[in-house]
Amino acid sequence: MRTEGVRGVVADAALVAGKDLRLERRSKVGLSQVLPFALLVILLFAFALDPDRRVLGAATPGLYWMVVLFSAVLAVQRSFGVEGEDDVLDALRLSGLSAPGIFLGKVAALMVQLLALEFVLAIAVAVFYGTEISGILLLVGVTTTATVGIAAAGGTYGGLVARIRGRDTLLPLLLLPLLAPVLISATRGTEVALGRDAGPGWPWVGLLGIFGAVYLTLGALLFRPLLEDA
Amino acid sequence: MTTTTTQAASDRRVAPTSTSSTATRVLGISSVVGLALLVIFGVFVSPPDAELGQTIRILYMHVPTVSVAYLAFLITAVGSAMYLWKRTEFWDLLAASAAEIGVVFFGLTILNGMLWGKITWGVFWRWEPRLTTTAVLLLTYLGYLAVRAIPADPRTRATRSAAIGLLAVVNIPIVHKAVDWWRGLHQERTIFGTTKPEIQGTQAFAAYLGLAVFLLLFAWLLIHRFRVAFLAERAAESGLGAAIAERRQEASESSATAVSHSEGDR
Amino acid sequence: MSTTGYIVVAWVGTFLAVGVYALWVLQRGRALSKQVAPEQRRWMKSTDTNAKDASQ
Repeated sequence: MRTEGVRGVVADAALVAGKDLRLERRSKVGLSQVLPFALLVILLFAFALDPDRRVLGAATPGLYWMVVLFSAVLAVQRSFGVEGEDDVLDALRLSGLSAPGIFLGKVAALMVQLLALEFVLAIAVAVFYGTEISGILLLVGVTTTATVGIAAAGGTYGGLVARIRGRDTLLPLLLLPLLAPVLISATRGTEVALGRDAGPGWPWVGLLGIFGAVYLTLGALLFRPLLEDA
Repeated sequence: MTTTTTQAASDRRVAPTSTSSTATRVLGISSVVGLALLVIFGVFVSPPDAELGQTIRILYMHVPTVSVAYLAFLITAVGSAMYLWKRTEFWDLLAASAAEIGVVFFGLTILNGMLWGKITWGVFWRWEPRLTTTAVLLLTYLGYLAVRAIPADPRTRATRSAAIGLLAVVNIPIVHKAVDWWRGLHQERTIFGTTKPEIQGTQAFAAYLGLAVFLLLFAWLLIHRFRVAFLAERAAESGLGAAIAERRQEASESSATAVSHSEGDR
Repeated sequence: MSTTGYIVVAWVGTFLAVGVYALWVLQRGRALSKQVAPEQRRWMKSTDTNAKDASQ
């Protein structure tokens, strides 16, 4: 019975993730809006901080993750905006798909989009800010665990605000303070990976992993009440 | 089956014109007395600390306010979890009332911390672990109150708030760890100094008194705030007709903007 | 401002803020009590059913 339950959840998640990714492939909003936005902010930071001064180079890890966070807010809005407009959220609720399955599916789709974005941004930052990439293993560890946490928290709050009219201003207010430790940990871990900081980098990955695990679990548990009542 | 005298007596009991009761009067009076004692001991009688000097007097405010704030958010978390389980109004109102009080006391914690910092560091703000963490958590719970303020039917509002209450509370230890590691790298002098101050005699008394008094104060505030929340629900129920008319108007406004938004999205 | 000044602000500020908040809560309590029918003014175990389920 239990294995069936888990398998059911995974199947539902795959279904929802597939739907979201197919939707993205067709509409290309992530490609045509979120990614350009991210690249734009990279550009604007260069204007604001002046590439000739060392500030831009020194601040690169922090700026990178800030751009990821802002882009994630947009991605979450998009992920649940699609639902809210035609009340697809309610249709999902009544579809018989398990709530944790829907949640994990959305999180998985968000993760795929975010990881793709982060990869392109890393290249952009290497090119435009002249960042030398090193410590690849640690970077992959940091990026993966951070993205799990961002997607999980985003998926939860996205569901929470999906039916609220003011959700465009509310979502960043709710999500970003929660993601503060992710920003801190990801930035510090990245700094270690790039050789700018001496300290151990893997503890940050550990903390990011804990954040991700906690919010994946909590989000999955909360998604049914949120889907039904929020 | 009640006699007329018992009926009148119970009517008087359930029909108070304020949120006060015997319990709150006892709590209120002991709080005021305690606060007076606290001023005497905290400000005048206890000596300045060997390490912290006169600034220990600010800690007599700072430590109780942060303790009350954390206790309040713990209650919010418990209330949120219990609401999602039992779905009774009591737990929802308890969680919300505690959260509001928690935000007030978190704000006071930051105020006291900044004043302590001004004396000790010469600046109102340093990114030291405790202040930084408190700032993040304050923003988190302001989000809770923001969602609480959105007009919605009670079950919707309660569910949203309960979710945030739980999501926020599990973040507290994670934020602490992240900030401590981060700022700890820079050997920031924390608000308690690099070693725990050796407090003795009247200092210890003032510290514990402050804690006890603020806990009494918190209990008093929580009971009153809960009753206010309860009354607000009862008043809202009777005002439901007016609210429905108002929402109909909002709905026609928002569908007009929704049409223009969806046209813009394409 | 001297050290004493900041300490005064800390204590006065804290007391003032708590006092203002307390008064605000009390005042809201009185105002709402007037709006609510007498038998509904106190939370009692028997009145705490979540009847909102019906009012969807």
